[in-house]
Amino acid sequence: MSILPLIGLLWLPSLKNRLRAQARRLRQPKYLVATSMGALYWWWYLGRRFFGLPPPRFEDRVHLVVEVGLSLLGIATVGVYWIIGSDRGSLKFSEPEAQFLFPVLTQSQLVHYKLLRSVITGFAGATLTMIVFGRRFGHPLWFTLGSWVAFTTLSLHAIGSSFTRASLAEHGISQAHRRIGTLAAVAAFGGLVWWSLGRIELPSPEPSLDWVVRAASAFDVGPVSWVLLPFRSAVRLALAPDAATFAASLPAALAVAGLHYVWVVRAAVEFEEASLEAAERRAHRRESWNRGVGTPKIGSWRRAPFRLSVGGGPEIALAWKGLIGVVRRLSPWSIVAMATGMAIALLSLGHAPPGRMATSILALIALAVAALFGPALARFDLRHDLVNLDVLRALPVTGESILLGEIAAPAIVLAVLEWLAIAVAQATFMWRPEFSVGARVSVWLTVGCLAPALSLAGLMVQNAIVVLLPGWVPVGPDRPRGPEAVGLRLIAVVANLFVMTFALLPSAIVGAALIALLWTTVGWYSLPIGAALTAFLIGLEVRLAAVVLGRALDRLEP
Amino acid sequence: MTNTLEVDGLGKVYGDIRAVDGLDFSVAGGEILGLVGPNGAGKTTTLRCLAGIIAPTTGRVRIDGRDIRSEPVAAKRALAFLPDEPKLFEYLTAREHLNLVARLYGVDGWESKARALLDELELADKEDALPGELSRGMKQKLSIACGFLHDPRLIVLDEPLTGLDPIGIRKMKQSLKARAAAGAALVLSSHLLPLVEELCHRVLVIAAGHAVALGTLHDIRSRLGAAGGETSLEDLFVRITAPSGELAARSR
Repeated sequence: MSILPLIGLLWLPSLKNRLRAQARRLRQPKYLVATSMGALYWWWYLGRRFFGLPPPRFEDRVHLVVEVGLSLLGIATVGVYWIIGSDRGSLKFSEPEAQFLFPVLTQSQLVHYKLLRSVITGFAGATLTMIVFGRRFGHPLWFTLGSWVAFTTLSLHAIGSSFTRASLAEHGISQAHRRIGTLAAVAAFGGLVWWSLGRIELPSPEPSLDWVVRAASAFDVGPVSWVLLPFRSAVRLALAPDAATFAASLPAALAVAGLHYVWVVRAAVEFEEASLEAAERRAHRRESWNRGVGTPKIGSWRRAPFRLSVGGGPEIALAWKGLIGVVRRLSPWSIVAMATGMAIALLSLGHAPPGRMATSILALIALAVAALFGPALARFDLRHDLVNLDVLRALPVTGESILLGEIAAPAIVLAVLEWLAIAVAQATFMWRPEFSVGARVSVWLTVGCLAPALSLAGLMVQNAIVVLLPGWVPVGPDRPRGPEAVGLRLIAVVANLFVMTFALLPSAIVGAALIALLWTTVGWYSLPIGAALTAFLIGLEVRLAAVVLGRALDRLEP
Repeated sequence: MTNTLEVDGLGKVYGDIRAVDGLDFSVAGGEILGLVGPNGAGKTTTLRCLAGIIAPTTGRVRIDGRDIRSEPVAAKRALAFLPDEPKLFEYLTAREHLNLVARLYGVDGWESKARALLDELELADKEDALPGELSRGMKQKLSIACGFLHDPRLIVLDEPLTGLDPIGIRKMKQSLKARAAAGAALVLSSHLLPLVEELCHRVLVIAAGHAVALGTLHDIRSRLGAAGGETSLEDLFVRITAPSGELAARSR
């Protein structure tokens, strides 16, 4: 069977049915409102870019900067694929695809089936990129087609590199060795760039656009230009101002894409052979496990954070479950990255003021991100467990306890991250001399009280959305998509801000009033006292919200 | 004999669809009730109402004398619900699942009970394995171990043998009989009619949300006037649940 008829039999009906299902959902007012808001937002953001007055075009000399910049971005993307990509082939098939297609398609057809999908996805990405950026650089049509070739090539590289990595892993080359090799290549390229930049003469002593243009011209000559050539071929195509330039750039860009295509198809075959050997090895291992030898165990560093006793509230048990999930989600690389960040922060203590200042600013940004956006990002609470709602509902636990237990784990994690950020900021922040030690300690204690309280309130709001509007939480194939998803997110953000403002305002007013009352007596020390009261009141509000929302959760039907 | 489960006028409506309508039945301690019916008859909805996962639109469910709506925590403490598709927490090992259940149900001395259950279900060497490292059948066994850990008074099972190997099926049947003999009430929903025939003391047949037959196999045979005592549950099931036109065609 050819794969082309599959598009007519599988993709088009699926797309049609999905659109029909989404249209049916519009009968419910909440989805209609969300879709309308999403469509309006798209129009506001994308429509005016596409149909409005064209933005001012960049000067021609800036084109060189953009071309080199985008090519370097391409190199960075490829580097990321090789450094953090997994050791498994990236052609993932859904269960129905595996069930219906594997028996009738050859291996080559399966690869092409997936490649076709990535080519189509690439076109959608290229169109979107054109709407957002394209009119600044050149002709919308050439930009779309050129971006399509560029995205498809990158996508092919992602797939090919994943197969090659998987094949290397199957041949015994570890992930660490591969990463070291990639980092060495990146370092070599960095050295080449450094050497090339060192050879140019700056046009003026003062930093200006001319500096950047001259720096970009360094990539036009010598060995660095050879490395950049495949990346620039696709970028040049996208940036072509007219048909003639596009036609002239097309052969090189298509050649790079074609080489990638050959690589992917060959790598898929090699990977398949290697994976057959690996499958045999896995079968041996499984047989050993079944005999009780070498049962897979999780590493000792991934053990439960504490021993769960039989007595006590269910909230602690659910928090324990959540914390185990956090520990086991962390990859060794993320721990290395965090440790490296901390080490850099500590090393900067003994260094010159700019390093210290930069570290403290980064720590404060991390603190703000954790406090404000952490609740939306740390989804290992009811948002994650919504798929297990019927298991939770069958347990002898009230909705209130489930809610408190579920938000406890992310609240603890965010609080720890915030306190770590505060510790780094405290150690590196350069206070003006007029601030006494007492004032400095008071400020950090204040932040240390308020940030976790803010996160806790944010987490409760996020989980309230799950309880009150479970259909808005993206789970499974029925999840909101397209303008509906955008609209739902917008509504959620507005609701979040609204609720947070009204929830936090009374506590903040009471805390501020206490600070004002105590300021004349204890000065700076009034800050942490007021903050502690505010944090306590927010905690109380969260507790009350858990009671009310817990009842709603008890009525919620999975 | 006291009833561990009492269901009065149970009904569940989804929009315009009446999934379950006016079910009345009870299950005594030590008794196994089989719940059978064609696809879409309302079996799973009934079981989910019994387990307190969804609230009935009408009627009442009492477990060990406690109403599942007014005293949900106390009622659920006496209950174990084993769904057909085992749902486990992906980051907890087998042992940690049992630890969590022990805490939530307050099971003293859970470690020895858990070890015995893991041995019984041949999972002893998998106690440190995550669900992702277990086969479908092993996940089912772990789900069963979690359900049995707190010695529930009522066990509600939806297709309990799905994914189990023949030895697992045999052990599971023995285990269910042993738990009934120890005084637990069981409600077992399955399409495997020979299993229902072998294990269940009574059978509730539902179709289109209604109870169409309830009693021992002997009772049902007598009521239908089935010839002889050898009519199988499968034959009875077809006679009870098949649409009248289809039945007439079959008899021709």
